[in-house]
Amino acid sequence: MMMNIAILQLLVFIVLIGVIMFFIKRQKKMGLMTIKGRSHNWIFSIYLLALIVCTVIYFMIPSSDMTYSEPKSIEQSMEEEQELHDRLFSGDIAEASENLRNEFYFEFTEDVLIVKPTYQDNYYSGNILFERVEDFEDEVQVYLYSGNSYIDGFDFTDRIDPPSFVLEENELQVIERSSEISFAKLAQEFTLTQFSDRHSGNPFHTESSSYHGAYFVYIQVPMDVDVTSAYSDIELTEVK
Amino acid sequence: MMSLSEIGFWATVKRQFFFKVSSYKNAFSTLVVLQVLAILLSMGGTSSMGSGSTNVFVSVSYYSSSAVIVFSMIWCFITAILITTRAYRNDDFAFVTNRLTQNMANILFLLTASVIAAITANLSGYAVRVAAYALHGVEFVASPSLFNTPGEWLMSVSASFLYIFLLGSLGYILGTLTHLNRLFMFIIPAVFFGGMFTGAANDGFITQTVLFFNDETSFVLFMIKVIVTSSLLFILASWITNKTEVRL
Repeated sequence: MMMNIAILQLLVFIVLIGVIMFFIKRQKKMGLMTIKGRSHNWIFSIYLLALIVCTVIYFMIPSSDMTYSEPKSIEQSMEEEQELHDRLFSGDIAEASENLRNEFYFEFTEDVLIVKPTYQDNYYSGNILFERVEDFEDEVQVYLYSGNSYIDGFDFTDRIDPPSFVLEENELQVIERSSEISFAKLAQEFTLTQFSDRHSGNPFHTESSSYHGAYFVYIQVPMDVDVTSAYSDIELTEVK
Repeated sequence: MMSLSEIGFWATVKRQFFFKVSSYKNAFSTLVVLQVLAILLSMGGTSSMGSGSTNVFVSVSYYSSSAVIVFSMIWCFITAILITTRAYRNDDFAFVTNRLTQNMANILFLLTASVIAAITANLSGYAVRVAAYALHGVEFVASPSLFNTPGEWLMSVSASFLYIFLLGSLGYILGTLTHLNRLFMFIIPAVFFGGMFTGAANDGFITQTVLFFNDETSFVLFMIKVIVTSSLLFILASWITNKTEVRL
């Protein structure tokens, strides 16, 4: 695999050298050589002017349109999520309100609530917790929490389509949707990053990191309701 | 009556240098074409990364003028080879010249070309960024400020200049060697491609040589490495051409 990549890089390099050689050696045919005297100056002057105009335009871009975020380490993101995990597993949902993404209320008169993720059979990447609440009667409350998702320290949690919930008879369906998110980021040139802590050793490689926050489904049910999973592989945790 | 006027070493170098700058103008037009090409290629993103979980896929495209700097390096490399060719060398005999003034004028030309290429390559970074902002809607940036500080910009221009000049000196010695003996036309590519694949994929001497410069995180040390290497290459090229007694 490494060898294939090396050969591919070499081919790209050879093609690049070939293209540039072609440009330089065939200038005559392309008309560059026939441009005499001051015309060369004009080409260069117009190019320089265009670059200066772009520089001025760039300085006019409102900086509020763009965000800078310090790159976050995976450990830091994991610690944040562990705190959320601990709060929810101890039933301390009031302290987890910052991570609340959505909440759903359903009327429910059955004895058993079956939780069924629909995105992939037998698999759910999040955590499902339930709590029996004394005050509850004929109702089910579902809270959706998630850890934060970062890419290069930029929090894109709000861009992700969170799962929604549908109750059909006694089956609570977790409907997950796929999200494709793309960003454009202004990076620094390798001639600058080489002398900073963002040095990656490759001019075309930008050091980056990402973290995908996990989902926590927190279900509150009346005291007399049993909660089970539609699939034996998906675990439910009761919070007491 | 005949009059003999003696022209000093630096006066000759100066005259040859100005002659080269004015007669090699087409090289700068080529630089413009190549940098524009690199800017256009950079508009799709200089690099990108993707990351996914079960149902979320996120990708980031990074925009900078790194490709323009690399294109400028290759331009200087090829320009340096070209000015060592017979056609260009013979131009110098229009002046009272010797090998040393010829080489000195060439080095000064490559220095000037590298400075111009470094400044325009770094200015082109703003063109790439403006295009990325207009076309892709940039939302986040890699540094606390949208704009590099004057110190950062100067460092980037200086490092670009050093890289471009280094490639220029490499091209100059390779051109000189090839000119000395045609066998080098085959030996150099063989050594280069052989070096790429000697030993493990990442341990070839070409890779190690690149890392010698690219892995240097101290700007001062990087500058010293480039200046020493370029000087050695130019001294070697001058020594080789001085050995040749007739027009090559």
